[in-house]
Amino acid sequence: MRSRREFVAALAALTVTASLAGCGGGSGSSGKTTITYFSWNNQKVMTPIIEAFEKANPDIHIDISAAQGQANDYAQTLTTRIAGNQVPDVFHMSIETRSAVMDGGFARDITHESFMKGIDPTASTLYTRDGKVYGMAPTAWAGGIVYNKKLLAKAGYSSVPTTWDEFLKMGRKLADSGVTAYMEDPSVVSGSFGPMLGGYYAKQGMKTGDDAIFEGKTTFEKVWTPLIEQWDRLVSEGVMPKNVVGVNTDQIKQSFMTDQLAMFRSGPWDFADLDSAGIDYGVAPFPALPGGEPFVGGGPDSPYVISSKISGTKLKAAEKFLSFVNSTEGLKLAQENMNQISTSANYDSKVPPQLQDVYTKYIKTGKYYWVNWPKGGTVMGQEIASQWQLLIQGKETPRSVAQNLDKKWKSQ
Amino acid sequence: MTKVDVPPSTDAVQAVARTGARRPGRRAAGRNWAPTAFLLPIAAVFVVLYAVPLAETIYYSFTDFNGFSTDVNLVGLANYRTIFTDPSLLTGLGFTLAFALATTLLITMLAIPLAVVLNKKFFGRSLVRSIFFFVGVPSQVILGLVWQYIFSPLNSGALNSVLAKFGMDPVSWLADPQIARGCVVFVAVWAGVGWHAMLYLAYLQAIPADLYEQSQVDGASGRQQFFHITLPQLVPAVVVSSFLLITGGLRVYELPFAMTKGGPGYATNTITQSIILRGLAQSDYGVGSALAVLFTVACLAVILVQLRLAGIVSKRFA
Repeated sequence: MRSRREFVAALAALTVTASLAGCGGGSGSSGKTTITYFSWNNQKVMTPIIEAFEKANPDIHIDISAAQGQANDYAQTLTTRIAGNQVPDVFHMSIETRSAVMDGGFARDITHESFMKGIDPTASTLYTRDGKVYGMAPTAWAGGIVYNKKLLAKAGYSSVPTTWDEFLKMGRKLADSGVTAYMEDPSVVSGSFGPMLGGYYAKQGMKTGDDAIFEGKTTFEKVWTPLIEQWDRLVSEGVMPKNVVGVNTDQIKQSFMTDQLAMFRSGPWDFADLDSAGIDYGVAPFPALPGGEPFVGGGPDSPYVISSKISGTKLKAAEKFLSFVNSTEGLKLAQENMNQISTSANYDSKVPPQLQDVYTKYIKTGKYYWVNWPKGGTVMGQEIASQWQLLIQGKETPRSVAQNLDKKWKSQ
Repeated sequence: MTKVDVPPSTDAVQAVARTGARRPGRRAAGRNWAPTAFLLPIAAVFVVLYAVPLAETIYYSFTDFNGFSTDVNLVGLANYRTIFTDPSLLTGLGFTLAFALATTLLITMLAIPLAVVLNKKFFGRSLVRSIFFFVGVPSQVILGLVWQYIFSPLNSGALNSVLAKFGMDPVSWLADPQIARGCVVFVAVWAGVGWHAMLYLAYLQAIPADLYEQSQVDGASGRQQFFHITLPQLVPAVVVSSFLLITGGLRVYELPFAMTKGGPGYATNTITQSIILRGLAQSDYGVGSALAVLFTVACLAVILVQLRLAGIVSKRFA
C-alpha cells in the first residue's frame, strides 16, 4: 500500500517537474530570443510583418498578442498586464495611456536610438516627457467623411460642401429624398466634432487648441458651447437621426454599403470592405463650422514602445524589431496590410487613390486635429461619448454637456 | 465514527460521569484530524482566492492606487465620496438593482407556468423542452450581439422591418434610455425562462402523483390543484431559482455591455461594468475597489433578505 502511494507521489512530482520544465523551455531551448509584443492591430494583419521580421532575423521569435475591440479595450488590457507586472517587451502607448506609461517609468527612453532615424519629429511630440522620446510612431491615421457618389449625385452634388450651412442644406435634401444623410459611431468620441473643433482653432489662430482648457485658463463651457450648438444642428435639422445612438459601427457601414446611408465618418481602415461591396465612394474633409475651416481627423498612430524592464539580448531583439518596423520593408508591409500612412522619411506611402486629395491638401499640410487629453484619457473619452449620446437624444443641452465635461475634467 | 476508532479511556468516562459534561480541551486531544485535513485544501483555496483578494480590495478602496505607480497613498473615504457623487455610478447601481429584481420576478412568473405546461404529455414534448432549454445555453455576449441587430433602431433593423410591413413607425429600441433598459431585461428573461423552467420541471416530476389523484377524488379543479398542491411543492425550487437569479442579476455584465455598451448615456450601465471600467480601463483602482466593496455589502444584504424571505415562505408551506 505504502509503495503504491510513494509511486503515485513520485509520478505526481515528475508530472509537475515536467510541466514546469515545459514552461521554462520553448523557444529558449531552440537558441532563439523570444520577445513578447502586444499589438495595437489585430494579429491577422500584423502577422505578415512579424513573419517578414522573423525571416530576416531567424534568431528572434516574436510572441504576439492583441486586444479585441477598440482603443479602450487595448488600454484596459495593457493596464491589467502592467498592474499584474506582466509588461510586454514591446507594446503601444495611446492617448489614453501615455501619461500613465511615461510617468510610471514603463517605457524606455529611445530619443537617440538609431531606429528613430527618419521619424517625423511632430509625431513624437505627444510621446515626449522632459525632452525624452518614449514612443516611435512611423505612421499616421486620417479620417474624414466617406460619401456615396451616386446618392450625392441624385441630390445634385458632386462632392461634400466645405461649409457647415451648405453641408446641412445638402443633408436635409438627402433626408427628404428618403436616405439617411450622415452617421457616425456615438459609442466612441465624436469623429466629426474633434476635426471641426481643430478647424475652428486653426482659423481663429488658437494654435494651442484645447491646451488653454486643460491648463485651467478657460473652460469647456466658454469655448466649446457655441461649437457644440452648431454640431447639434446635425441632429436637430434631421441630417443625422437620433436613433444613431443605438447603432454600432458595423451597422452604420452596412447601411452605407446598401445605399441607405449617404455619408459616414470613416477612414482607410474601412476601404477594403467598401471596395469589396463595389460602392463608388469618395473621401472629403469635415466642413468648416462658422469661423472655422475644413479639417480632417488624424494624428500619429499609437507609437511602439520598448519596455523599460528588459535588457541584454531581449533589448537588442526589441530594438531590431523597431528598426524593422521603421524600415522601407516594414512600412511598405504596414501600408499593404493595415492601410497605414507612412510619415517616416524611410518610406513614401502610396496613399489609396480615394484618400489622395485629403492626404495632399490636409494631412501633408497639417490640417488635422484630434483632442489629445493630457491626463485621464479613458475617463474623458468615456464621458464625452456618453454626453454626446445624451445630447443626440435631447436629454442634455450643448451648454450642460460642456458643463458636465468641466466637472469631469476637474475631478481628474 | 470517532467513538469507534478511539474509544474513550475508563478514566475519561469516569471524569465525564463526575462532571456531567466533557471538557473541550480534553475532547480535542482525542479528535481525529483527518476530516479537518481534508478541508485544508478548500480552506486554502478560499483564503487565497477570496479572503486575500477581498482584504486587498478593502485596502485599495482607501488608496489612490492606479495600477501603474507603486507610489500608493491612503486617501481616506475620498473614493467612497466619489461614488456617491458620480451620476454614472449611481445610475449603474440603480439599473443593476432594477435588472436583478425585474429578471427574478419575470423569469419566476413565466418559468413556473411554462414548466407546468412542459410537464404535460403532448406531441413533440421533448423537442419543445430542448428548444426552451437551449435558448439559454449560448454565451450572453453572443445573445447580446444578435439581439443588438434585432433591436437596431434603424429603419432597416430586423424588428423595425417587421413593424414596417404592418404599416407601423420604427421604434427607437436601443436609442431610447427607457426602451433600451426594457430591451435588456427582455432578452435576459427570454434567455433565462427556459433554463429555470427545466429546474422547476425537475421538481414537478418529484411531486407524488397520488396527491393529484386524491385531490381529483375530492373534486379539486385544475386551478385549485395548481395553487394548493403544485405551487407549495415547488417552494424549494423557487428558493433555489430565485437565489440563482438574484445573484446572477446583481453581477450582470456581458449582456447589457454587448447590447448597448452601457448606453444611451449611462442608462444601461451596470455596477460590474463600472468596476471593470473604473478599475481597469480607467486605471482608477481606488474607486473601482471602493465600488466593489460597496457592491459586496449590497449583495450580501440583498441575498440575506432573499434567504430570510425564502425561509419564511418555506415554513409557511412546510
